[in-house]
Amino acid sequence: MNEPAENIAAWISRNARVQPTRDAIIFLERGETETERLTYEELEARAASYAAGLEREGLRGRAVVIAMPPGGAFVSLFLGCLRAGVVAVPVPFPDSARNLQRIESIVADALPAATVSVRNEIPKLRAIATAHPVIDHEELLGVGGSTPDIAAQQPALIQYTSGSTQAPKGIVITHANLMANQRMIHRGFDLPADVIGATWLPHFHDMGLIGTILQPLFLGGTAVLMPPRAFVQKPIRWLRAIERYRAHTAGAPSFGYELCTRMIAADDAAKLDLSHWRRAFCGAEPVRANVLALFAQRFVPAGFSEKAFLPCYGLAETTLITAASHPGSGLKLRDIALNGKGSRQFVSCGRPVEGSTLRLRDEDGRETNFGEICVGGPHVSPGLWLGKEGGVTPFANAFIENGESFLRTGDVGTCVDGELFVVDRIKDILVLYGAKHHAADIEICALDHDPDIRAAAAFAVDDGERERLVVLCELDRRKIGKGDYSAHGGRIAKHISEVTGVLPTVHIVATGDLPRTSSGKIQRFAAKTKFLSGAWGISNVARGAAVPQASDE
Amino acid sequence: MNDPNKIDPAILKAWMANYICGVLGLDRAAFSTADRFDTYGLDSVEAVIMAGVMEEEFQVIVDPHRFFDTPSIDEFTAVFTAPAV
Repeated sequence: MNEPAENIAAWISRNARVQPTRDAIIFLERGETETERLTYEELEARAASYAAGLEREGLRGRAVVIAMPPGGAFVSLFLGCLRAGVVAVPVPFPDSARNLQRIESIVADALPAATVSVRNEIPKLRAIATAHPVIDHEELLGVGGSTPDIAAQQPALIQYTSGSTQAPKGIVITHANLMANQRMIHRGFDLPADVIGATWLPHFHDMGLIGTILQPLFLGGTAVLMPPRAFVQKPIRWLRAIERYRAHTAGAPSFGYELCTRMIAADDAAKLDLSHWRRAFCGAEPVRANVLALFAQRFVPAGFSEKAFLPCYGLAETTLITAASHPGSGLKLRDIALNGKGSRQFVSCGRPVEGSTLRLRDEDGRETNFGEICVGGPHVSPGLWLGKEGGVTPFANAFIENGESFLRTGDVGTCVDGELFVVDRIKDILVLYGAKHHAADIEICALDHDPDIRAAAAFAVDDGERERLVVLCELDRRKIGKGDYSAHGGRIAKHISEVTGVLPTVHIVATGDLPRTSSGKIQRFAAKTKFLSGAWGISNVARGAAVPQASDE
Repeated sequence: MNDPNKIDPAILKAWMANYICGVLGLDRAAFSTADRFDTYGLDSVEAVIMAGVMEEEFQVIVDPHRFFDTPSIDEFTAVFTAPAV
């Protein structure tokens, strides 16, 4: 047999030839009973069928938005795209106003040649995507179709994960990126070929798609899937799936572990058998030692091993993974000195995975051991999607060293004994409940809501358990009576909650109080530092509170 | 599992109001079941968690998506407990 091309769809086809009857995908629609099971042979047949339909529609080489619910149809359609040389753009399912809005902004940026969804959602999608056809996925199922040779450097998918709603950014992942990162995850996590994974992570995000769906299929294992909402509704469903299918690998951002500990009582926890769970990876947002320690405390009686914890570091721009701790070693904690701000304990994210190169750079681009994490390697995206031209524009802040291109991640870290510790973010992205929000979007929300707000700074504050959203709003005090601050902040908080789904704590400060650059731009990081130092006499991050700012006028 | 239309809407309303006020630390007396969930700060994650607790409490199946279609306690209980068509 010839070595398969650098194309994960071809790779999975090979797995289907070797082990046609093995389960590839198991789907639990409500997180409990099995509603769908696809063998490799069935997955292969469906992917081929979708590929034929995509080819028939003339979509090869074009971007196609996939607005499907989680499950086997999504996975088959995604693989069908890769097989047919279609650039897949996975987006959330349009079952809420917020998801629909998100799709609208992605469509405006990606300028796809088509959007594919299920029949019921088509009218809604047609209303927002007027410039291109919206196709029912069942109409794509076709026969025949060729298996084109697709260059490894061709875009395979566009990950819209961290772009702001004002200016979404589509990160282009090539076929070569995908394959390189699959190999990195395999080696970094030391996974067996018959791996069984259990996941609830969103199928349209890097960690869910690349890590928990494609990796088991790449290896020839089985991916057990449930929708994110099924997990959030009853987190025990995820752990029961891990037990029932004897999942070897399952992971989440810290938020997922925290939710399990919060919602699953000790009695119910003790009845589980989690002894087969060997890789409990944790990434995508800061890895919290206290959250994982509480999780272990609750679930060790169920046979969970703390050594299964596998903190890792990655981002959509590096396909997914970049660094991972040594599998089977559990958490490694270190006190890290923060520049002039004392020290704090952090969790090691391990070493760069094989093929991934890390550099730490200061603001002036000089090498340092405490600075911005920069990544090079075959898993690094070539840049952003240019919808208009259908091409790729390189990341503006990348730099070349010894002929290798390095991506600036916007995360701040340090290396101790060769291991990476991620200590902060300089990019203005907030991760709340595992979802990314742009600080600018939240600030615009406050400014739009109330013309008397002159400026705003949004940032996340760690309350020890999770990150809470804080928004500082500058208000001209002459405009408003002293006693009205609380109500004012409360109204802004409600508006932000309506738009973003996250309720912030809004603090009103006086005009000119927020730190600015020389050009007048608000400095969020400096505002956060000032807030935490108690400069405004406030550091309360109680949920939903709109705290009045004492007037000293 | 129980049939949702066997649930007394008044009991369900009171349960939801108590649950939300408890989770968010709101004053029950000042709370209106006609308000949209998001206006008093029940964000989407907390709404889905509530759907899970409700399933246990009332032994019914609750599709969390319902909270996005009918975003207030009054609207939700009216639709949820209505006889199936």
